[in-house]
Amino acid sequence: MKKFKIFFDIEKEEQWLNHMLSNGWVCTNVSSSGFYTFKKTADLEQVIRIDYQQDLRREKRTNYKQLYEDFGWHSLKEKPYDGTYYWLKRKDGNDELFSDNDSTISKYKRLMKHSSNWVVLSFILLMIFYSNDHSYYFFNIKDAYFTPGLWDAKGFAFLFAFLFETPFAIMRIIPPWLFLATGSMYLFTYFRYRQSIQKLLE
Amino acid sequence: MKKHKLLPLSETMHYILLALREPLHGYAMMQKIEEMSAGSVRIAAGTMYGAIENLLKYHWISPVETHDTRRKVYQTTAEGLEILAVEQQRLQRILSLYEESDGHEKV
Repeated sequence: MKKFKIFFDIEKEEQWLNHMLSNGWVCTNVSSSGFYTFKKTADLEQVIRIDYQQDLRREKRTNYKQLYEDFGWHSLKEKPYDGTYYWLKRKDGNDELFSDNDSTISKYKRLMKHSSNWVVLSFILLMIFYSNDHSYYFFNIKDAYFTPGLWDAKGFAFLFAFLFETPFAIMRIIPPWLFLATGSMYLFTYFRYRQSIQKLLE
Repeated sequence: MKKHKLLPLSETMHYILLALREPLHGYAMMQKIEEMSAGSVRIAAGTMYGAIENLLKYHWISPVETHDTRRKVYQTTAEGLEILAVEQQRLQRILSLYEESDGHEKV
């Protein structure tokens, strides 16, 4: 079975994967485009944990993976380009990746840095779009249609020109909103991670 | 002198430096620490990995050459042993306070 889902928060993603597991679906692959592959399983006593590690170069990565495997974790998927590592294990009472507050806080700090990088990147892209000459169609959809005299045309001529131009207009309208949405989601996630640290310190 | 970021040592760091007075790899370290602490400290994989990286950064532990190419083995350095000596003094001071008050009144 395949499912499509987009997550900004790896804890939400982890919860969802474990929820699927508890219903008898074990994740077998995660694609970078957001597709999750699941396989039926009778073994409900398993747990999935997502780890986030920045910049694990080849040699370090071998070392990192060997250590986790020694501790009984099976690598389900690794995405070194964005730093996420998916680990699966049979439940045995030691089902967390982190056993003290310091290392849990460090994990959240790494995640906060990851989110804030995305926030900055999204807003830079948004600014690039907003500051160029065509930025006015950001709010006015009609302006995104470049065909001269389109809005004065009538009947079939209008319909044809309108439909012809629509895909282009969409391509002009969507990106800035997409960057704005992505940036906002990561900003929200950033504060959620920060909140998790504060809860640990209480 | 400015106090080091990792001082006073956390329980995890403390046990790792003590365990690595003999060369061990990550998983063996976890097992030894579980035994040393009578089962009360069981370090998880991510915590172990992060602690090793952190201690390597300050040269309190260093990799040891072995024929195992996949698993890295580490040992506490001279610098690490100095840190342990400082910690021992600090803890002895605290323990002596417990003992002092035992003589006068119940804690």
